[in-house]
Amino acid sequence: MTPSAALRKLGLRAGADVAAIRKAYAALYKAMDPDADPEGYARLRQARDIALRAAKSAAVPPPAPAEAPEPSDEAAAPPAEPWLYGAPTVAHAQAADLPLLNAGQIPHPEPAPVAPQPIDAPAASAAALRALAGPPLLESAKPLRADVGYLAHPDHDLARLLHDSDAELGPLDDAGEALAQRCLRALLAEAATADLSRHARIEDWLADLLAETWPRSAPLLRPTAEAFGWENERGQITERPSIAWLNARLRGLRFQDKVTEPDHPLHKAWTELTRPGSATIVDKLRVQRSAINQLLEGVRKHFPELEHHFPRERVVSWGDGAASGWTGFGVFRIFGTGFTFNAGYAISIFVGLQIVMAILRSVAPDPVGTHDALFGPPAITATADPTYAPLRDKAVEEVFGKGKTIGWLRENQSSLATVFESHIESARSAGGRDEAGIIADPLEYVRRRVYYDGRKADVATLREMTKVRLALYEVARKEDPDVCTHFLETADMTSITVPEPVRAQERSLAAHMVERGVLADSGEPASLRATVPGALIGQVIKATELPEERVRLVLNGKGQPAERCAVIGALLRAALGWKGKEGSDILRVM
Amino acid sequence: MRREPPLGKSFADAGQGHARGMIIGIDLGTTNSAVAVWQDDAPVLIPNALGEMLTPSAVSVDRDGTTYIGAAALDRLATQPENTATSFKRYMGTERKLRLGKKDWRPEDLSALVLRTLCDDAEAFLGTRPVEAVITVPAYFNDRQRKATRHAGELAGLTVRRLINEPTAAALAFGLQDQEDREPFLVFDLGGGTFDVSIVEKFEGVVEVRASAGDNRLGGDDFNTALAARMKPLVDPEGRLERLDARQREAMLHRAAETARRQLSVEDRAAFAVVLGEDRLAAEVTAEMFEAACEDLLRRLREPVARALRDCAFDVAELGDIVLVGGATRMPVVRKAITRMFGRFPNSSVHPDHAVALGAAIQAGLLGRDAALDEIRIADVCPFTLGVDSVERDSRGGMQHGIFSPIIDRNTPVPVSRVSNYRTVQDNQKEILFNIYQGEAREVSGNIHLGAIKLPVPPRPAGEAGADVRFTYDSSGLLEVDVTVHETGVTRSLVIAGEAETLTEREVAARREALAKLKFHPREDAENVALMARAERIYEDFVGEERRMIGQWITDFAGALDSQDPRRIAEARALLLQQLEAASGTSPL
Repeated sequence: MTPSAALRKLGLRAGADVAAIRKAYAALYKAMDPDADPEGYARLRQARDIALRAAKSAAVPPPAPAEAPEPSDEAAAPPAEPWLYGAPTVAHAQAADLPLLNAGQIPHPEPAPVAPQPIDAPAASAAALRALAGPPLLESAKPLRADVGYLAHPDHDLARLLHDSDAELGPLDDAGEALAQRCLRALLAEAATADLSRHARIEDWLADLLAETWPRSAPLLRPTAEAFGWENERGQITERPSIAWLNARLRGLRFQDKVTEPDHPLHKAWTELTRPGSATIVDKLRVQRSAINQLLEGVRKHFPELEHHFPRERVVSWGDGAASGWTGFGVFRIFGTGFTFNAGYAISIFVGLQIVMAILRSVAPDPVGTHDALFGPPAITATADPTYAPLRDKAVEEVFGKGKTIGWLRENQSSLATVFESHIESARSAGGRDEAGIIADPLEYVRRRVYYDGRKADVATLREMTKVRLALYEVARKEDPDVCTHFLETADMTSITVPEPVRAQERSLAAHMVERGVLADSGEPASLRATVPGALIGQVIKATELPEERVRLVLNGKGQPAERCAVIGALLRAALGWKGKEGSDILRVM
Repeated sequence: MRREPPLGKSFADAGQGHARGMIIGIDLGTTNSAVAVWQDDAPVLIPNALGEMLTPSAVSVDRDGTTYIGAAALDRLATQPENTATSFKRYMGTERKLRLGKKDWRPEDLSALVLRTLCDDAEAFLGTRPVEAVITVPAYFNDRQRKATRHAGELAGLTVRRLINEPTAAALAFGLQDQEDREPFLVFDLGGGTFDVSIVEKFEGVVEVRASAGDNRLGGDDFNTALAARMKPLVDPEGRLERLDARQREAMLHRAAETARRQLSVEDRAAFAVVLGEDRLAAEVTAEMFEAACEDLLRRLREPVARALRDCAFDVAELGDIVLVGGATRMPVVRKAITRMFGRFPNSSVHPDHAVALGAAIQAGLLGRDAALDEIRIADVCPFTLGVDSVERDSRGGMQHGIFSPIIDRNTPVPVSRVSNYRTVQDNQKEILFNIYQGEAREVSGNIHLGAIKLPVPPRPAGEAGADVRFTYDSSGLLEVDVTVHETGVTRSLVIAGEAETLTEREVAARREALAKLKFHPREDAENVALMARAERIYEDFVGEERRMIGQWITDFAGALDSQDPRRIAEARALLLQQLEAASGTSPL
């Protein structure tokens, strides 16, 4: 429903203000029997909500520059890590503006209730922006400040401790851990008495910090989770993704506690696998193989991060093949920093993670394979059988455009050429397929490659890739929501016929990428985190006409297929049109 | 003058011969209950036989089977803990039974007795016996708890016209204080056993709930328990209380905590004391100690507030008033926590103990289509997620069973009607079974099962046969589920109504009959009965000479009652009251 349609439904003309909308809504509502027509009631409420939203955003006068800047690139981008890297000098200057919170003291009321922000205004009100960019944290709890002077900014200290240098980080040493715990206590004490928005801010900040610096942050997880009741959220539909991730780590810690107790049934296996070096025959007699397998399987399934306790050599010596390809849990950490919504809630962008993981999975079904295995050729190796040279060239033309040959491909990206050939070879030797059927295989492969590698390419290529993706998305959307979400998550279009104009776009993009040599690099994408400005979300809400909550749900990786399809499409489009760096960051994550 | 047990008569009468009269509004609370009615364009509270607006939700049974309800029963908690029940609302919707005297009671039975007395009070006030009622329930009460409440109403001979959420009722009472529109306000309802939060807006006479959240296991009682746990080692280092019967010990500690907690509402320190035989065990508790003891509980208050705000995407700063409801919001520790949470002082313009009953009376007036309420409408939300059991394929291609698939999300405005469609998971599947659940857990095992529908589907490859499932949830909390198989068009419906699942009409009648047989003191004796119970309770609080003296007063009063001379009884009652007032002033508790 568009805002004007909503107004029509309410019997109003364009330009109606909030009071008129409410009045019209109340009159219509009182005249109906919602129980007899629940769907009519839902439509009426939807019309009211849409009309109100539009009226409120229209009613807000252009903000004074000092108070709320225009949604320019700088202003709309809340600092990715608000307190961590907030400039300390500015911070101190502004500290005086903010009410000080001390344990046991009743805080000053907020200056004035802030009027609801228009949805497509800058992400944060002036106050929120100031708080975000402002001092790391206001004050620590009293008792701590009394005995240690340097806890004036416990968040700064904590972040520094956990991030430390850029070197490979081991666990915190004893002194470091003691200090970190003290900082944490100060933060938790403040959260316990702070108002709810600040409470939420501290909670989100800590959740992000702990996730980012895991496993170094492991000793801090338990007290933090307890203070915020994270475990009560476990298994709920609305469990926040970052909290869900931390809750899973928490269970890992619990398991580790239990398994290190001598009476745990897997205790022996645990002790055995955590020893350095290879297992000797004596070791193998002492511990049952079934227990080792059970432990490894359980840990990999439920607590993958615990596997770093097992030296690889030890695991391999027990004859476990999967150990060699263990890629750790880096993939999980993509969700990263959330974005600041107009209401001040941080939401993690979760869609990206799912999509990237799904692509990894669909390209190579073996999730524990090495990188080469991920994008390597299928099992059957290519034989450059000259009989099929015409077929290969035809496939190259189909995928990369007229005039392109396998020779051209090899010249530009030989590794891709090899994989391409082997795809044809395996499809052909499997039998039972016509030419188009055989070509479908390398086509799908290249399509996914394009979406995966396009994320890492330069901005221009990235944008081109997104345009093509959107074109395909439109095609998939016409089919049905399931096809659409399936495409968005896996880049798989096998079930649909893609119309020729879109195919042409795809071909020229693929050829362009081959010629730039970017379809061969199988390194990790540089950055898989993005900050989504509130204004951008405002655009998504406007475009999809979905209520805020639904959009948020989808961004958290949930929701019905039709909504997912609509929201992700709208987000891609909005990000493509976004001028700042956030736009391309989002495109890289999606 | 009526001498037969009023309850028996009324039970037999219920529903027969009475003209459809006024609908009453009842706040059936954990600690106290109240009844109100819409009269002369305003909600009016109805006093009980003792002239009080609040009737303690307590039931006690005598050795000879006489049943006490209200203040007398609450006082008997001290003297007869094994025959007295309080806080039974906390067990509504469970199978748990409470033993009083020689019989086991279900929480619904006990609630029915309280409702009964409230009806008696209303009858005395209105002149006719009410047969229809609006009863309030905590917003976060689940379907089973709601059913049990409705059922209690039926056992009390009432037709429950509607169950409304307590914070919604309070919001009505608050919102209708004037004609003004109100910016979103938050109702913070901490009762004896439950905690609810609702965010509400009022405009053009529409009181609209935007989101509700809560904790149906958090209330004033938990603060007593926390305080008792903190103080027990201090007053009883030798563990003498351990030798007592558990129920007696709990009742003692609970009462000591309640007394100390009340004192702490007005002062910085209080005595926590229990009397054991001839000894008085006591220790001082300060406000700081109490606050430390209930730290965890105070923390638990934050979570539902944050959830409600998240659900309707409001920021704390956008809220107008914070409206306090429920007796437990009187505690300074709770007020302090609230002030911190919202960064401002709460609004105390509604009476925390009366607002819910008054709101229920307003809802009753709305149902009765009272002209004065013509322009008022109330729009509530469904505080829980409703959905069905489903199977999902995981990334490895395996089947994950028991995944909750939501159809109506929590905090959706009601009434609401939504459809989702589902497909078969197996080739040639013969039928589809939909299990219906309420709750927030991703796995259905963590949610509450409401019912099931099974229907045949044509044999097709997996995923090719399917059905539409429509959930319709109306404003009185009735959920209707319709399932239609795509190909055959076969439809099956299930109404998950507010009736008790397990009981047939006949069983209900039998239970009602059993309750009707109970013996009661007549209503006009209520004052004497309550005073006697109170005197006996105070007797327990004293030791030595003072105790002996109070014992003497009780004997004198009992003598006067035996005389059956109304004048002598009235004089003795006044005397005893005076004596007890004086004694209580010096009470060690």
